[in-house]
Amino acid sequence: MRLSIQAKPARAAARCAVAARVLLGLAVDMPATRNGAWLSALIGALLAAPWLLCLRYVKRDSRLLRLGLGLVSALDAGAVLAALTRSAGYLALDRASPALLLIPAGLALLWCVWKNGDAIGYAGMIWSRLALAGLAIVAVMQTRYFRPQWLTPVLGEGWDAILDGGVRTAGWIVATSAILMICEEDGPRLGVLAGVGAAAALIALAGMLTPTRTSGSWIIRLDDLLCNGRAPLYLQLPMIALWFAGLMHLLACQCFAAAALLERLTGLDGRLCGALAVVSAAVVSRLDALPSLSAWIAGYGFLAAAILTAAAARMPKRTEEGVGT
Amino acid sequence: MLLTLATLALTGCRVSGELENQAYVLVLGMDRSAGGGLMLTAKVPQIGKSGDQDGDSGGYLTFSAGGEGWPEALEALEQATPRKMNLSHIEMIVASETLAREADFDALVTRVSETPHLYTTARFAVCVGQARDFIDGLETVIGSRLSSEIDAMLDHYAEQGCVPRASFADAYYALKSIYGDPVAIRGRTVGDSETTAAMAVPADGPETEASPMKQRYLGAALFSRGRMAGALDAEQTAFMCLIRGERIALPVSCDGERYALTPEGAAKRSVAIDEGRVTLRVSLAFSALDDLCAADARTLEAVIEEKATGVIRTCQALQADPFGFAEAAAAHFLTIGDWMRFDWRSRYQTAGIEVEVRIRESEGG
Repeated sequence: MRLSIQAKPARAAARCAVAARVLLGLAVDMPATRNGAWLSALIGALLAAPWLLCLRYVKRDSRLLRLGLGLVSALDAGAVLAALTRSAGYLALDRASPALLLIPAGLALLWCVWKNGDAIGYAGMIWSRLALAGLAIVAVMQTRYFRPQWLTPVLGEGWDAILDGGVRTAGWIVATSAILMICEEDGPRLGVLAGVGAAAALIALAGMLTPTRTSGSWIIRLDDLLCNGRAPLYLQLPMIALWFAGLMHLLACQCFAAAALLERLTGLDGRLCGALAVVSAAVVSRLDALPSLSAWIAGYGFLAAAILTAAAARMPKRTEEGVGT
Repeated sequence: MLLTLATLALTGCRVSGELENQAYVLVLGMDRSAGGGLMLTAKVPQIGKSGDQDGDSGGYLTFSAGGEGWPEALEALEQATPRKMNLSHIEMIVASETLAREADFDALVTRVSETPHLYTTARFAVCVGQARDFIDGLETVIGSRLSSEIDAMLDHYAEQGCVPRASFADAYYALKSIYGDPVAIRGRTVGDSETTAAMAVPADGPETEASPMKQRYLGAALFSRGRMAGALDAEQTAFMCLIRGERIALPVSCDGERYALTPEGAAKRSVAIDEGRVTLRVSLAFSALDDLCAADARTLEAVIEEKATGVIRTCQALQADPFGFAEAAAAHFLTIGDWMRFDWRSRYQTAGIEVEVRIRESEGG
C-alpha cells in the first residue's frame, strides 16, 4: 500500500489541523501570552507564510527535509495525543488509566491512516463545515456573555510573550502542514493559514468569556475553553464533541504525514509506516520528557524547518529530462 | 464522520453511570465546623420520589460531613452518601457568611472550582447563619423539582434586581482575575414566626405578604481581596446591577409616590484617568412607565443619582469593585504589567464619582 493524498484534500486537512493545533497551543498549552494570544497567532501566520510559499520550490525528495518534517510531525503528534488522553481522562466520569485511554485513540488513528490520505483530507473538508456550524451555534447561544473588555490590556504580558507565542505558532504550523509535502501536485498553500485565522478568532472569543487571570492549571484552562463557567449543560456536549473530533482530525493528519514521509524515506510498506507512526506517537505521549520535547518543537521546530527548506531549495530540482535548477 | 459520532459515546453512560447509582447533589453547602474544620452539606434528590404526590419526605435528602479541609470534607461527604456522589448537576453552592469572611476563603473557592466534574456554573450564595440550616429548609414550593425551583426563583429575583446574577465560576474567575471583585447572592433562613416576603424589599417599598418559604433573599454579598467584605441590601443591589449593565426595571419612591422606570439600554460605564487621578463615570438612561411630568422627572433623576452615587461610595469604602470599573480602566493600559503596577484597588478607593441620570418622560406626562 502506498500512502498518498491529492492536493485539494491535503490543503483542507492541513487547514483544519492547523486551526486545532494553534487553538490547543495558545489557549491551553501556552497561557503566557494571555490577552495577546490572538496577536501571537497572527504573527505566527506571518512567519510561516514564506515557508509555505517556499515549499513549492523545494526538492520534494530531499531526504533531510523529509526526515526533519517527519520527526517534527511525529513528535508533535505525541504531544497532541497526550493532550487528547489528558482531556479524556479529565472528562471521563470514571478514572481510567492513560494506557486504557490510548488504546481506542491509537486504533482509531491507525484505521484513519490505513484509509489513506484522501479519506483524511475529505473528512477534513466535511469536518470544517460541521465544526463551523457547531461553533456558530455555540457562539450565538453565548453572545450575551461576551465581554470585549476582558481582552484588555490588549498586549497581555507584552511584546516578548507575544513574539514568543508567534514563533511557537509558526512551529505548530510547520508540524501540522507536513501533510502538504506528501501530495505531488503543486498549488496554493497559503489557504492553510485560514486555519490560523479561525484559531485566532476562537481564541479572542474564548478570551471574551472569562476574565484575564495570571494563574491556572492546564486542566482549568481546558475547562474554561469547554465550559467557561456559563455554558449550560446542553452546550457542553457539542463543545466537547468539537474538541475531541478536532484533536482526532489533527492527530490523523500528523500521523499520516509522519507515516507517508517515513514510507518515502525507507521504502517500507505504507501500512507498516502507519502503524509505526501511531505507535511512536503513543510512546512519545507517555515520555517523561514530553513537555521539554514539545517545548523544543514549538520553540525551534519552525527554525529547523526553515533551515532544512532553504537547504532543499538550493539543491538542483530533478526534472523529467535530468537535473534542472 | 465516524470519529465525530464516536465522541457521543463519551457521555459515560454505562452500568456504574446509571441514574440509580448516582447521588446528584443539587445544593452544596459549606460551613466552618465547631472544631475549625470544614463542614459540607449536600441536598440530594431521591430517585423516583421527586414529584411524588404523597407528600411524605418531599423527595430530597440532606447529608452532612466534615473534615479538616476541602478534600477531606468531600471524601467524608462521599462516605456519608449511600450512592456515588455526582457534582456535575449542582444548582447552587452556599457558603456561610462566617466562612466567607475568613481570610483564606479564596483558597477554598479555588479548591472547589478545581474539583473535577463539579458544575461551577451553579449559583453562588452566602447565607447569614449556617449553610446547613439554609439548605435543609430548601424545598419545592411552586414547582415539582427543586432544581427548576431554584433556577426560576433566582432568575425572578435577579430580573427584579434584588439579587445579583452570580455563578460560582464567575466568583472564582473574579477572585483570580486582574480586574474587579466577585459578588454573591445573600440570603438567610427565617424562623417559623416570621412571615415577610420571600424577597427582601426596601423599607419604602410595597407592604410585604407572607411566604411559605424558609429562605429570604436579602441582596448581595460583596467580596474584596478574596473574602467577603460587606453586603448590599435589595435596593442597593438593584443599583449595583444597573451600573453593572443589567437591564432591570427600577421602582423608585419620591415624595410618597412610587414610579416604575425601565432602562433605555445598558448603563454606560467608563473610567477617566488623568495624571493618576481616577474618575468613575456612569450614565443611566430610563423611560418612565407611569405618567411623569418634567419637574418630577428632574426630581427622580436627582434621587437616582444620589442613590447610585451612594452605592458606589459604599463599595469604595469596602474596597470592592463589583461594577466592572476595573475592566474599563484596564483598557487604558497596554500590558498586564503596566496595569498591575497602577495599583487599581487603592486608586479606586479614592476615585471621584460622576453619575449622569436621564429620564425620558412618558408621552402623557
